[in-house]
Amino acid sequence: MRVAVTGSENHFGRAVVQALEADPEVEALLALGTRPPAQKLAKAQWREVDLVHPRSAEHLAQFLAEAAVDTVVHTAFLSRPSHRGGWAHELEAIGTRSVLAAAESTGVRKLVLRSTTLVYGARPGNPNYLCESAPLAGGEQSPWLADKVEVEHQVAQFAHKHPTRTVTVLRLAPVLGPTADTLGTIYLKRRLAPMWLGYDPLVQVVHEEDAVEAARLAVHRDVRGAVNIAAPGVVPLATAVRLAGGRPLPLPGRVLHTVSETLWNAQLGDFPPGMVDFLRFVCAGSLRLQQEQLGLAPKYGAREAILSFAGSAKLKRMAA
Amino acid sequence: MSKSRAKRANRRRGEAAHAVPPVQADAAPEQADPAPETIGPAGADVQDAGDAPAPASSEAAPASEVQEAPAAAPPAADAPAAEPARDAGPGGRPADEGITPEDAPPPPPPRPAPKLRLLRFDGGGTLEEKLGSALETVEQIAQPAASAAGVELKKAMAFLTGQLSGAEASNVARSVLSRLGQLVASAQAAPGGEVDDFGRDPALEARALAVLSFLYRSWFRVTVRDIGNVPAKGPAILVSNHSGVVPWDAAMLKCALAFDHPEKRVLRPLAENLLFHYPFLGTWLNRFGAVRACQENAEALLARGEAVAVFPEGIKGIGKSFRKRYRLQRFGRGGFVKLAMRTGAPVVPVAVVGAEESHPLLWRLVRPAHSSGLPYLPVTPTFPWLGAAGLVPLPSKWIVEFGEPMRLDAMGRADDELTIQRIAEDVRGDIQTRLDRLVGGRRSVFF
Repeated sequence: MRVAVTGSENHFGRAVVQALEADPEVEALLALGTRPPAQKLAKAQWREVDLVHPRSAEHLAQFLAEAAVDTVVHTAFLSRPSHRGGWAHELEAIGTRSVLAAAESTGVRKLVLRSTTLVYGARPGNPNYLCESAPLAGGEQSPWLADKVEVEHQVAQFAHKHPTRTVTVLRLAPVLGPTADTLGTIYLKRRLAPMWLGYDPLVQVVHEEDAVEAARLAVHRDVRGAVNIAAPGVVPLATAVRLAGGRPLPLPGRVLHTVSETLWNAQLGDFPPGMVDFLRFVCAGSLRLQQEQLGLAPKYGAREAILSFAGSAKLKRMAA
Repeated sequence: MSKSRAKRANRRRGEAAHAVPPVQADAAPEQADPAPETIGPAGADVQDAGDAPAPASSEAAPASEVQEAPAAAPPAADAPAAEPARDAGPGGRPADEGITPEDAPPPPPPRPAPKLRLLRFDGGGTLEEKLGSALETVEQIAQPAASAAGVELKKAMAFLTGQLSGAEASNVARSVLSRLGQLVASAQAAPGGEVDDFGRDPALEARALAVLSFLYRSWFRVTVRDIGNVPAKGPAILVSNHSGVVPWDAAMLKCALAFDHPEKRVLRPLAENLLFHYPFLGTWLNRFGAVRACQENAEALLARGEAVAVFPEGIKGIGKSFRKRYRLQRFGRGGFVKLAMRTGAPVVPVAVVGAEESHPLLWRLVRPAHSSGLPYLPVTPTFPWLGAAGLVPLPSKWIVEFGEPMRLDAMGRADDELTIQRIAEDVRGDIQTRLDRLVGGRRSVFF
């Protein structure tokens, strides 16, 4: 099997490239990204692709055709909200159009998309575990999530238009781990983690090793549609903060909203104001398909993933 | 990571660094004396010593400590302090001994760059062996006192991440670092806060039940009838009337199953949105075992073989005025019937008598309640006149009766609205009949 991975410069794409590099069943591997990989790769070929470039679709199509790629793993997404909203939209929504266009015109028979469980949105009406068929309401909460929801719709249309090609959407719970850099890690790295006073929602996470393994399995197995990827078990947010070595800082919802809005508008904060709803309501995915269809048996439970993230961050600080 | 812990870690590192200089002071003059003019090598050696002995001596130290007293959990600060004394005795090169303790007894052959030998990967042993031994050492130290093993882990980190190349090495380094991190953090993590998949915290639940047992046994003096009708195990849907301003009935039902059921079952009440998302209360109810009422949650709970309690009257039940006591309100939209049809779980009708009198609702103030997010402000004989004390329920005498379990899965399809409404009305009638009989049969409200 001949695989191309987009977004090879981000933490997830890089890890997927490394996992596929070590996979003997992958004959050819194409790492597509804006920066060359830091380490030497034996199998993988790097090609410069900037999805924001207006001609990125043509470049992509050329690279995919040259390497006779049959599977594309599309991971070129932002793991945390960006203050450059316009650029983020170009990269995610328009960039995915380019990837889909390139895949359409070449012999790609499988597309694996990296998405997030946050696309469901944190809403009071959520059941504790959302099925993959639940509506994607996260777009109302933040433009960052609106782009991701738009991408999901594009990809669903693509799957509908090309029934012979397999499209797998991996909706990852917030990824934690030694190299992960996501909204989850920046929240849990805080010494004082703001919480919504009076609320302590159950949160779901996934360890980066299991997330990467999910991508590897998706390359191997033909799974159609969306699959939630998360570690088994949930943890109350306050417990997660304490496990990660921080302290919860409960603030009234209105204060939380105002502070995050002010900081975000001043380009200082990490959290757009709409994201504070995730501190209030549960947004977790049902894990039935992950086990039944993808065959993923996560190595880390929710608590273990948080501990692993916290401990490895500590070790990295010691080694630095 | 808290600031105090960061400080502690820094201080510990500082101690380790302070413990090393005696070695440098001993070793450097010896080598510098014969050839004072060769500044370059001496400088390099000192630099070497500054880097190498810290990990080297600590590697030797925990290993020897572990052999002598595996359970002693040595503080790291002691180990480097003790080690220089032993190293200084032979007057040899401390760095060499630290790296390969088994090579120490024969006269050490001149080794040009001990630091590289420590870190380079292509020495003896396969990748697995090296990783295995590194993990073993780290586990022995990290389990009892992970914070004390910082230097050891630092060495393992450099060994694993610094000098390996290629994708496979990255994958290995990632997984080793992940597991090491988990070990380190779990040794320091405070216990508690463990919840099941739906947020129930068994430790908190046990504490709450201990408090509620006073209400159950002494305050309301709950008489339980036919509790054997609740299946001993497996899924069950308890359908109960809902009354009283504060939903004590759900708590007492939970107590009945926890204290008086032969199998001491755990009950998962399904709570309405309003209650479940009310600040503090909702979170607390969730840890206590309550789950937000919706079909998905109920089905998942029943699939786990749990007993759920539903109150189809919802807020209309607890919010009805005292004049309408023991008159069941509309039974929602028959959600529990659909649930029973889909899952095949038996429905157990439950009649609770006494809750109506615990908080007799005289009046509902709707407007003043809006700012607090409540649907209305209750006015009872005690609330709000007595303030928070008015929330103490009156000590009415309670009776809880469990009816025969009913199987609904053979009675129709879950999308047949007419059948659903008919069955819901039948169950409502069953509970109403029980209520009328029980209320008519009791001697007094309070005895």
